[in-house]
Amino acid sequence: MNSKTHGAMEPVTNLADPPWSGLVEQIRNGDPSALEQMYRIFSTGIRFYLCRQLGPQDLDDRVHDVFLIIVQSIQKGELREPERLMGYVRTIVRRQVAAQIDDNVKARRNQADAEFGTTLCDHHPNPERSAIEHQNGELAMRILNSLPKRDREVLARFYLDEQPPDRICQEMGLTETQFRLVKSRAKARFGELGRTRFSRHVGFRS
Amino acid sequence: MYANRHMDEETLERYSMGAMPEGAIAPFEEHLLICEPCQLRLAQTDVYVGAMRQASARLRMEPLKRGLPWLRFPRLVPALAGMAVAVVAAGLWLSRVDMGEAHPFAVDLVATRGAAIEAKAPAGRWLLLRLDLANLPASSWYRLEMVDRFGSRVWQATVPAQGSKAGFKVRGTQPGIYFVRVYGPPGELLREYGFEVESRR
Repeated sequence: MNSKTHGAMEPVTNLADPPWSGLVEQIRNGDPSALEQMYRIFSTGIRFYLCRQLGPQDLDDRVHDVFLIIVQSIQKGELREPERLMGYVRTIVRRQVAAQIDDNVKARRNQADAEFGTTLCDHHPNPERSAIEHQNGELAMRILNSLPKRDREVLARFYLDEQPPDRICQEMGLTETQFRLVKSRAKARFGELGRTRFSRHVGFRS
Repeated sequence: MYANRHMDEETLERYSMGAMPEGAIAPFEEHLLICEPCQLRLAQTDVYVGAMRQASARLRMEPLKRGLPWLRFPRLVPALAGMAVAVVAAGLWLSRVDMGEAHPFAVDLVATRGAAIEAKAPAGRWLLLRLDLANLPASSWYRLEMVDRFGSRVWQATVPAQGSKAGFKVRGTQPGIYFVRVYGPPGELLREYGFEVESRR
């Protein structure tokens, strides 16, 4: 699944018209199987989002807290449009991220000996992840060094300088097709060289 | 928008780099909540984007290091430091004038004792945010993200570390409280600084 192209992936089914209303009703009624189903549907995505925004620390607790908030608010009748369950879940997750940021700031302010701007996470080096990150960096270096100078500049402007594509094309005299080709070739090469590393999870799965 | 189909590579890349239009983010994230293949592809895209940023930053620095070895001589450090002070002083003296990107307003973000947000910057001016990275895990580069008080991303970039410091320019922003998050290469949040952008009088 990790190496499939977009066209070869299985189509996403039942997302345009999922039985959200029925599921929400069952949750309101306290149906345990409905709670399990909702957890099964959303927990991975919630975990992914929280990990991506806040890092892997305390991830299990955060996922659990978010899930609890969602269920409790549904049971209180706060979800007025059951068909908008996905948007509702997303909103709650985003609020939790914002709340976590606020909590961090308040914790710093309330601590008399707090050092403003100190490390938030109890960061311990993860040798495996460091090694993977180093390998990915070396792969990218290898790819960039194998490219013509112009292509290297295109990629640096896009990924490092974050220049918009139309500006890159205008300043470097490229067509949109040429620009996309440079990017897609580099990415394809990265995928070829690092296919086994792509198959590893990146930390958000429990 | 993404009800029955997976996301294309360009969309994933735009989101990964924080370049997705505001109106497109909600349907994208809603799809992401329930689509594991797209979560994995986004994670792969994050890895790729991070690796390309790291490599590009290194390549930009390496020619400079190779070509200008005399810059490493210790006796030049005081002279360069003096020049930096002079430049900063000039920037401060001109603080009420918007000189554009070429002359940003310098803001030092450091780990200090105190309960309040001390770093201030004027609204609407280009800012040069200078970070103190002391005591962080060593890395040749860091990913920086600037968010407003609600956690919405305002800006992000990858910057090379220069010893225990890093600096980057940000386009003028509206008044308010902002936070700059520092992520290490594995993507973990290492530190967060706050500063306040004040209305210009």
